[in-house]
Amino acid sequence: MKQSELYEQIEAYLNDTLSPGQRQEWEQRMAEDPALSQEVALHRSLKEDFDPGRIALRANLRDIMQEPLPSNAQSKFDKKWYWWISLGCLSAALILYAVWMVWAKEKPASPEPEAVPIEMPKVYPDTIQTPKKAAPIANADPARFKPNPSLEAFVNSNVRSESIAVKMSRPINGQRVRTNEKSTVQIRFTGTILNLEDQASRKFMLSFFDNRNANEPVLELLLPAKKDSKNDLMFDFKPQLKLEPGLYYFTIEAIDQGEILYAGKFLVD
Amino acid sequence: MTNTDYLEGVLNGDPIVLRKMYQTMFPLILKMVEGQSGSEDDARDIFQEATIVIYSKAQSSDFRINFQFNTYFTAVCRNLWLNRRSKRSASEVTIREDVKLLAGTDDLELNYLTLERQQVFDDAFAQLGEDCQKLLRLFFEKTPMSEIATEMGFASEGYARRRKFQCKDYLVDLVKKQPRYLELIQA
Repeated sequence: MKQSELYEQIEAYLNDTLSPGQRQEWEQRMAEDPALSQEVALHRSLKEDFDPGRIALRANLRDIMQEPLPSNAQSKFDKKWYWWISLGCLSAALILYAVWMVWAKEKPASPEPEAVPIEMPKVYPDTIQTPKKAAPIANADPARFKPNPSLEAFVNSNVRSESIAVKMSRPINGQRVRTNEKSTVQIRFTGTILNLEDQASRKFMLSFFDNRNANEPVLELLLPAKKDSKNDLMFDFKPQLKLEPGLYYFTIEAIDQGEILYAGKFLVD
Repeated sequence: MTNTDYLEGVLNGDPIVLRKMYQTMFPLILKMVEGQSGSEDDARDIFQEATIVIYSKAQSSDFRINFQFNTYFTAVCRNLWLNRRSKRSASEVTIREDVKLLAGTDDLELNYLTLERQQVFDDAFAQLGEDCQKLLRLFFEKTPMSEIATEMGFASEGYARRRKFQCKDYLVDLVKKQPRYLELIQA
């Protein structure tokens, strides 16, 4: 059969202009010949997907997107100055740090009376590794972003102890954090633990859960905090964590009572 | 410019609306893509595909956007980009499951294979000569062959039929040159 005849027959089949007998015969042929079946599928797609409006839209977009952006020159300028400003800030920060180091060495050591004696981890490495090896971002598994119903329930119930409350400033619930070149993320936890009264020496645990296991945290850290003038505990903690891309939950818990005071979540990508 | 202005502009291919979208939103998309190891070409593709997504959705009369158009458009771009990025990891995963979480919307489920197939067809079609494009446009719009012959200035209906075959055959060849065409047509 000539190619042109084949096309005519495929079109007749797709346009439903074959007689019932011809149609049955054609379908039998398709069932026996995968190549013919593929050819029909291609012609069907061409027919169904053809949209002159969409094709014209693509052509219009192609033309428009070749035009220079009005802000191009400005952004290049900004980019150039951005680096100079960044370099300046970095230099200033280094000088200030050096001055502070010299001043701190010269100043006699004095205890900080307001500091609450909360035990810090004995060894606090720059990077805390989870037991599992982090995968490259490109390998991020979508299942890792699925909300965990048990943990979501904690986040959404605004958990708090009857007496103690946690006022959390950061991270914002559902905040996205990006891994850096070393595949680590730095997340800032800031907030205040209120209504402690005379229990200001209590210890608090910051626990991290991935979205798969609500029962076993992937990491637990003692939350360092300081007492403020109102006898509340303030914390500003910036751990650097090695976490795979995914959805994570965290809780703040009063260690001695095993009481969850706060639950939140963040995304690593 | 209201959401309706944007939707109608995209639907009609209005250059004023498209230019405004390009000038105001493309820099944001470029920043997002380049910030996640993508290139300017990636950003251009994503921007174009997102506009096509809006075009397809806007064809439905009950389609409404419950956000600012910019927000919705950026969410579509983000999803397209994440999908493209996940494909580059040589895995078969799609990000459809976390789309809602990322975009905060319920109506952003995209059929990526359909989008890719349409792009393959449109690109192949754009490679045809003007006469072939016109002829096939008439053919796909179900114009009778006799009218096509008249419209195209052909001597006979038979010649129109032969030209239609040649043009379609060329289009089919272009599509078949795409490595993933079998997967796309069976999606």
